Amino acid sequence: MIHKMAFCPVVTGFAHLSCMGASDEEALAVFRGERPRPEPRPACSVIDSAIPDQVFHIDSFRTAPGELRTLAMIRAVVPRALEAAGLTPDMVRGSATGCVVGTTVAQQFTDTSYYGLLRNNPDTEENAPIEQFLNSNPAEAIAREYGLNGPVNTVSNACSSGADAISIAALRLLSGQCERMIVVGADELHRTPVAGFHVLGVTSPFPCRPFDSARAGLNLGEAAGAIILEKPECARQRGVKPEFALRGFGMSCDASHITAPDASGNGLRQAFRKALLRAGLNLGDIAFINAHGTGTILNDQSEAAAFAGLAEGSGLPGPPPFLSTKRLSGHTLGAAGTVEFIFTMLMLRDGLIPASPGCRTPDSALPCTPLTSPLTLPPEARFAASTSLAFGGTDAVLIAERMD
Amino acid sequence: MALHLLASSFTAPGPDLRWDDGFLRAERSRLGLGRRTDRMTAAVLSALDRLDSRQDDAPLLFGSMLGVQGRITAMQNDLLDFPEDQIGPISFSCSVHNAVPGAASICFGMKVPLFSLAGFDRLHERIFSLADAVLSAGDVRHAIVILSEERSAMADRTIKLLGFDPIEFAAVFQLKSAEDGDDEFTIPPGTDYLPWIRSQLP
Repeated sequence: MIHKMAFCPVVTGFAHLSCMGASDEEALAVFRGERPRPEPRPACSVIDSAIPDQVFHIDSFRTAPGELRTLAMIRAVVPRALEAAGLTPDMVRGSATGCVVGTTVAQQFTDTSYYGLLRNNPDTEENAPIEQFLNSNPAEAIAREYGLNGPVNTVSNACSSGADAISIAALRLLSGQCERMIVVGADELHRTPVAGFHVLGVTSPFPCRPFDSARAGLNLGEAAGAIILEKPECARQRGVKPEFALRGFGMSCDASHITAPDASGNGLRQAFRKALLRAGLNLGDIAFINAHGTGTILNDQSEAAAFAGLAEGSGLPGPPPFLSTKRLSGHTLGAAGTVEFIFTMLMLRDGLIPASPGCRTPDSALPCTPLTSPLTLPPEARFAASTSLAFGGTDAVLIAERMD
Repeated sequence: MALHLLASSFTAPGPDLRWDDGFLRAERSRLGLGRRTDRMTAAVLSALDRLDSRQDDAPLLFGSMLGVQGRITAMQNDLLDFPEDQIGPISFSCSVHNAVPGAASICFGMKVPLFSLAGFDRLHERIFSLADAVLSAGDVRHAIVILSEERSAMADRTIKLLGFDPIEFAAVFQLKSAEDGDDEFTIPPGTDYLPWIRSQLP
């Protein structure tokens, strides 16, 4: 039994970094078609990888030799999100502020060079890479650096990690365990997932085309997003008038397959219904859906089935308009859920939803198809959803509210 | 934290602080798991299957410092041995941190929220505190916490650097919110994760 939330956590600040840029204006300009779309390049040309698959790499973001890229990206977005929320590091130090980071690459030891050294010489006295790993768990590192006194979690739920991080933060706030959460989703392009998705045969040789009849798979990418989520009274006491709130969230799992989503979309549909119940909303209240939309055959089939199934019996002629932004940023794994929730808020603010990027000929075999032309939202549009699916069968839905 | 422990279950290591591979083989067969189900997944599913009155609508909260080491090591070996980066697809799919709770959801048909946590600082306290938050939302009556570590050359070295003896275990705890008259589940303050787990093992 899902209950409507006692209060809706408010978003007092956010920041993002992806191939679309690092500012709201840059990202919105891409959505509006005022800036060229970022283009993917072969993985082997931008990271240490033998794989030629097309990926979205943030060339403008440089890291020093030995610096862990995901953590560096997190360190780039968190201060900007705090500043946007009107917070200084001193204001959060020692406060009931927690941190939850969704990531995949950054929580696993992936230093193959060091592993090779250890494999060849088990008695090596070199430990520096392990010590660096122990000190770099993302949520723990951020909590230490900012002296946070609230709950701390690094969540690694594969490609829904970023969305689940937001849900976890909401649960922490709703339970009264803290007043404020710094929520991050972040992942770098890395040799391991690039090789892994390649061998699974789900990568596209060309820029991805979510929901298109000729879609051939996904393009991996890298990104980081940070959101400051607070109890409403906490924001009020600081004199902050939030522009957005997390109106609802829902989590479920398919219990079907370890990598492939359930083509029926049942798990995602269940998560969506939970999110609507928590939000106290109906499907018709949702102005648009920013879908996970990876561009793989099965993901898009599963999501379209879920959206169409939600509309059945709702009295609506079909599901809310939907799009995928992955043609613009790539599939950014643990970052995707957070960054795409931020994109959802930006589009709600802008009131202009682009035609689903990369979808030229919608797949007529799908029970519903994405936006094929830009949509101007009516002024009363206040709610939008963002969906995530992941290995392990995880499904996550977040509902954003634009506040008056 | 106001939790009440309803039941717990373990796949404990032998005297060498490793799982008994003969036991894991037998459990794979008994549970109808594939022969190639990795050791950590087999150990966790075995413990979950032996949990008294398991509630299959309970969210699964999985915590591990180092994850599915057998799969991760296999992937690292592939990356070293095959310069074209041809890693094994099953190694990759099952190396992700949430593969274990994902496998549990499939094995037991649990269409529930899954939470997979990683970290080195008081991981046990943090996962039980999240279970408390999940239960506080009032949407579910039970939550299941799973903690597990698997040994490997990398894992052993990492655990030793943390100052502990490497150990394999799968520990499962079924909890509910504590009500009047319930014993409260507590973790002695300042107890590190691995010593605490060792104190819980049968």
